[in-house]
Amino acid sequence: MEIKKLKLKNKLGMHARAAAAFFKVAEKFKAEIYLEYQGETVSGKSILSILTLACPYGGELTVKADGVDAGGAIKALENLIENKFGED
Amino acid sequence: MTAEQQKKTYALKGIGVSPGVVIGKAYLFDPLDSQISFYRLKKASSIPKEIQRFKQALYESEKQLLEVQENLKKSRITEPLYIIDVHILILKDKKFSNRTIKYISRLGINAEWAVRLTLDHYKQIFEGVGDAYIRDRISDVQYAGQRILRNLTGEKREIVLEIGGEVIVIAPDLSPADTAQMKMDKVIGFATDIGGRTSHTAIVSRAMELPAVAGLGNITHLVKTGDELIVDGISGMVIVNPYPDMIKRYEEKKLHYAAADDGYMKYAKLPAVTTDNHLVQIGGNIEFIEEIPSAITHGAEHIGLYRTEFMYISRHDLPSEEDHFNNYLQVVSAKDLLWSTIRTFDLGGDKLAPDQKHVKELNPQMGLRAIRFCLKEIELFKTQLRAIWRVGAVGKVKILFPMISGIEEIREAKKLLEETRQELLAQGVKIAAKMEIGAMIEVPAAVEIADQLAQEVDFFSIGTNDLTQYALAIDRANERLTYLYEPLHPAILRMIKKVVDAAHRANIRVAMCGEMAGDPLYALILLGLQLRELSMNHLAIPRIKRIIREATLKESKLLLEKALTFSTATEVRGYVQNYMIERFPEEFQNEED
Repeated sequence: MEIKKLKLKNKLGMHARAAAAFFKVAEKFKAEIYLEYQGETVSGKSILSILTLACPYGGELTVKADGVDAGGAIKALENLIENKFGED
Repeated sequence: MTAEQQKKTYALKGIGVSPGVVIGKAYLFDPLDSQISFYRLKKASSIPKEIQRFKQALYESEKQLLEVQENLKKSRITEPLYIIDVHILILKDKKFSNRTIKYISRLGINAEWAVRLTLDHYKQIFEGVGDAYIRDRISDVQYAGQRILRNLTGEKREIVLEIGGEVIVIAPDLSPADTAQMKMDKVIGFATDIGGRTSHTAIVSRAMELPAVAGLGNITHLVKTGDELIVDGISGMVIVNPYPDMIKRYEEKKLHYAAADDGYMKYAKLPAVTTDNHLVQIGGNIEFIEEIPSAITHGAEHIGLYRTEFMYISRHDLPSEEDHFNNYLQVVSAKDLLWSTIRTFDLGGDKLAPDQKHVKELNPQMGLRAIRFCLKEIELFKTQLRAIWRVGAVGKVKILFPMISGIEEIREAKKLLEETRQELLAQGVKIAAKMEIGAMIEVPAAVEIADQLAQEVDFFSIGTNDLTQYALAIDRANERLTYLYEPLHPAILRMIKKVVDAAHRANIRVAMCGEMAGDPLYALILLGLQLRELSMNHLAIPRIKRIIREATLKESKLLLEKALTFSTATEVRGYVQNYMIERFPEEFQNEED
C-alpha cells in the first residue's frame, strides 16, 4: 500500500471539475485508490464519493493506492493535485 | 381567451442568475418526470432481466451524453462541457449502479423505482455536506438519474422546441444536456423553479448571455406555454402577463442594459457635478424592492420614484396597512439612500383583483385612475397613506401624488393625509414628524397652473412619458403614432421649462422621473433647464453621471437657449444630436444616422 499526504492547492477545492479529473486519472490504474479526509475514507474511483468528501481549498488529503501499479498511481495523482488540477 | 378577459398581471420573486432583461412568450419545458411508473416485480425470476434493463439504460444515457458533448464541442460554448463530463462519470460510478442493482434484487422493485431510491440516498448524503457548492451538486446526480429514468421509460430523448418564434424556457431546473438538445437560437431567456447562482441554469445562461431567473418556487405550475413574460435577471423578478406600460418600461430597461458598459461603473459612486460646480442629485426609479441593491450599486443616491402598483396587483385581495408598511420598511432600511419618494397608487380599478368592483373603460389612460381613483376609494388611499406616515418614523420618505390636474385634487389629498396623521396620533402610533409631499407633473393642465400648485406642495416631479403623450395627444400604445412621440418637441421643452421656472420662483424642489431623465442625449438639455434632481432607470445612472461630470452648466444653458429658438421638433433634435455627438464623440459614436 502506497500512502501520500497532500494539500489541495486549487482555490475551489475538490469541486466537480477537480473530482472528475481525479477520477479520470485514478481509473487508469489497476490499483484500488482510496481518499481520506478528516477520518473518512472513500473510493477514489467513484466520483460521487470523491465529491461528497467535500475537501476544501487547503484541506489535507491522504491518497492511498493498493495494487500492482500503486506507485505509478500515487505519482500521477500527486502530480494532478500539485498542479491544481490544471485550474486557477 | 377574448380581449375582454384581460389576463392577471403578477410578479414572482427569484434569484437573478444571469443579468439582462427579456420580454417574450413562455415555453413550458417538461422533464417528463411525472409519467414514470413504479412497481414491484411479480416474480423473482424477472430480477436479472430488470438489472439488464437498468444497465442498458445506463449505457444509452452515457452514449447520449457523449453525443451531446461532441455536439457542444463544435459550438462556441465551452463552459458546460465539464459538467456533462461529471454526469457521464456519475453514470459510470460503480457505487451508484451497484446500489441501484442491489435495490432491484433485494427489494424486488422495478429499475425506475430503484433509481429513484438511489437518488434519494444521495440526496440525503449531499444535504449533509457543509459546502454549499458541493451540496448543490445533487442536481448533477439528479440530472444523471433523470436521464436514466427517461431511457428506462423509453421516452424519446430529443427535446426540441418545435414552436414558432423565440421563447423563454420555463422548467423545474435545466441541465446543460437539456439545453444542448433545445434549439438554442430560439431561446431568449430562462426561468426555473429551483437552483441558485451555481446551478446549471445559471452557468448555461451566463455562457449564452441570456437573462435568467432561478429559484422561483413553482413557476412551472403558474405559467403556461404562450403566456407573456418579462424576465429581469438583474433584480430576479419575473412578471407574468405584464400590462403595456410595464412592457414599455422594461423595453427601456433592456436598452439601458444593452448600452451599459463596465467602463461606466467607475462613475456610479461619483457625484453628478459639472466642471463648473453645478450639482445634480441622481435617483433611481424602482418597481420592486428587489431592484434596490442594483440601484445603489449603479449610483442611485435616493429613490426618486417608487411605483407602488405591484403592492396591489400581485395578489387576490387589497394590501393591508401592515403589507404596505412592511414593504416600505424594506425601502427605507436600505443603507446609502438619502430618501425615498413613494408614489401613491397610479392605476385604475381595472388593475386590481377581479373581485374588486370596477368599470371597464374605453380609454383607461385618461380614465378613473391614479389620484382620481384614490380620491374615490378613500379607504384604499388612506391605508397607503397611514403606512407611509408610519414608515416615515423609521426612515426618510416623501410622498408623490400622481396625475394631478388641478388644485382641488392636491388639496383633497392633503386633507386626507392630514386626517390620517391625526388618526395615527390619536392612536399613539409613531409617525414621521413631517412629510414632504410632491405633485407629479404629467397632465398639461398642471403645467399651466404650476405656479399655483407650487404653493401647495414641497416638490414637483415631472413625468415626461405621460406629459408627452397627453400634451401631444398621442396614445403610446398606438404604434402608428410612435413617430409623433418626441420629448424634444418645442412644446414639451417649453412646458418643462415653465414647470421648473415656477418651482424655482416658489422656491420648491423640482425633479424629473420620466424616461427622458435617463437618456444621455438629453442630459445637457436637462442640465440647462436646471433640474436639480433626476431620477431614472438605475442602469442609466453611471452613463448620465459621466456626461454631467464632463459638462458645464454654462454650455448646457446655451444649448437649451439655442434649442428653444427652433420651431420644429426635427430641428431641435438635429441640433441637440449634433452638439452631443461632437461634444461627447465616444459616447454617441453609434448614434449618427
